[in-house]
Amino acid sequence: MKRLNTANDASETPRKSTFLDAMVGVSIFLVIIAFAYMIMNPGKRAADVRNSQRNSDALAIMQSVLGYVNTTGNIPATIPINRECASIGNEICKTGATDCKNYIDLTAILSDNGLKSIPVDSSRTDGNGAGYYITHDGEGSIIICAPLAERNVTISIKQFMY
Amino acid sequence: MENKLPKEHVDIQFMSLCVSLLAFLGLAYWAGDIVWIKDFQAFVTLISGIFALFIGVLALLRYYTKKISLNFLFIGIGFLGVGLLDICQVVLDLGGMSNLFTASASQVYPITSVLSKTFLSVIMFVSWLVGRKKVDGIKDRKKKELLLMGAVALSFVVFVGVFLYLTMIGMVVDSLIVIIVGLISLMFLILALLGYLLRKDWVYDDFNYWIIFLLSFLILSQVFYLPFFNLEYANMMNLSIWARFFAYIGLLIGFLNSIYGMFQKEIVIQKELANKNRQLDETKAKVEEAYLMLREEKWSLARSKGSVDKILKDVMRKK
Repeated sequence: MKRLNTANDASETPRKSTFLDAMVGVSIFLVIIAFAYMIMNPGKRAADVRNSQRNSDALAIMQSVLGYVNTTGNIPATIPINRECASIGNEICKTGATDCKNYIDLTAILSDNGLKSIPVDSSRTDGNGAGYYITHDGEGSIIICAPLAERNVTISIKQFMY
Repeated sequence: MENKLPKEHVDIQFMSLCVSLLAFLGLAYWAGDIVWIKDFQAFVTLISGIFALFIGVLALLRYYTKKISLNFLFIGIGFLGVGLLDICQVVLDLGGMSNLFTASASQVYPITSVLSKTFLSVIMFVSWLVGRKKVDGIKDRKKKELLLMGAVALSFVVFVGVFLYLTMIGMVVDSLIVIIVGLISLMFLILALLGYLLRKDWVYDDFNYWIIFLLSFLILSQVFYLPFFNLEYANMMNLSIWARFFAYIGLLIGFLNSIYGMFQKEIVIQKELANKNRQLDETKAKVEEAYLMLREEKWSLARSKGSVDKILKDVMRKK
């Protein structure tokens, strides 16, 4: 091993050595803080809360669709038939959106007693989409999913309507 | 007495260890949003197993070149065993190699996976134990080691005790045996880390730093495995495997560094030898030159006195 100098030479640069010692101390402190942070992991807690909200929202939309089907006997005509939920053209349009072209308009399922407006995913900050997707599998089941769910969580609900 | 490494060098080594740990914890923090990470679990385990085999072979080679270092023997045997266990684990889990990049949604602790971890932790502890004979004479350090390690072992016994109690009263319902064995291996790893840190051989030798690097990442791996962090179960299993992978990479670098160091040392020795040989040749030439000069002077002196002819006559008469 190449020895550039010995420990005795370190005394020639005491300032540098003190700085490095301090940096080692700070690094150890940061590692301990990171450990503590990972035990709490507030980021994950917040993501879990948002995912839980997504689940509730998807359920609320499903209940409204079910209410609509029970009342009218038909699945809303705007819902496309597609086995893949999270595909282009399956996103639900926001309530009060400027343009619902290329989105699914579910105004028909809204009611004063049930869902008053389409819930919007917290990660969907712009555009006319709500962040939730809906599709009809062609066999009488409706699938609602939230592809913007965080931490690789899959949120998808399937319900037979008849 | 071996030369001490420069203090700046040692400081930078430990700072880089802390930065690596921080970076890994950062990866753990964001791992939940990385989609591909779960598909690499089996593959990374397989690569880790292969690395472990490499480390085992290198350590055994080091042991056979320098037989006084018993810790190399233990590290070698340990890593060979761990490598084989890891590879067997992957093959058994997948039922062949065709599903190497397929994520499985297993929600139970595989009991076999804890075997290699425990084996390695015990071996690392023993490697420190057999390597500490050098410092037997230093009573203070021995006492300090004993105190610290006793405290750690005791706290672990208390921890496992509390855990067992909670399990008995039904508060914890997980794979109990795996968790207890996991905690015991964590204890051995912490004890080994403390041992290596307190032995302070890292002041003289880079390789000891890489063992500390290995132990730090193995502890991190065990912490993820048990699991102590607030993360998804699958992520923690994954990160545990990644931490082991980085630990093995660290030790491999250590071995390569140490082999490079040995070669460099050999080059220096060869240079010194060549230098000494040259000096010897020069001295020899000077002595010969001086001898020849002296002989010439003696001859000329003898000739001037006529004694040379007398000597030649004596020689002829004897013949």
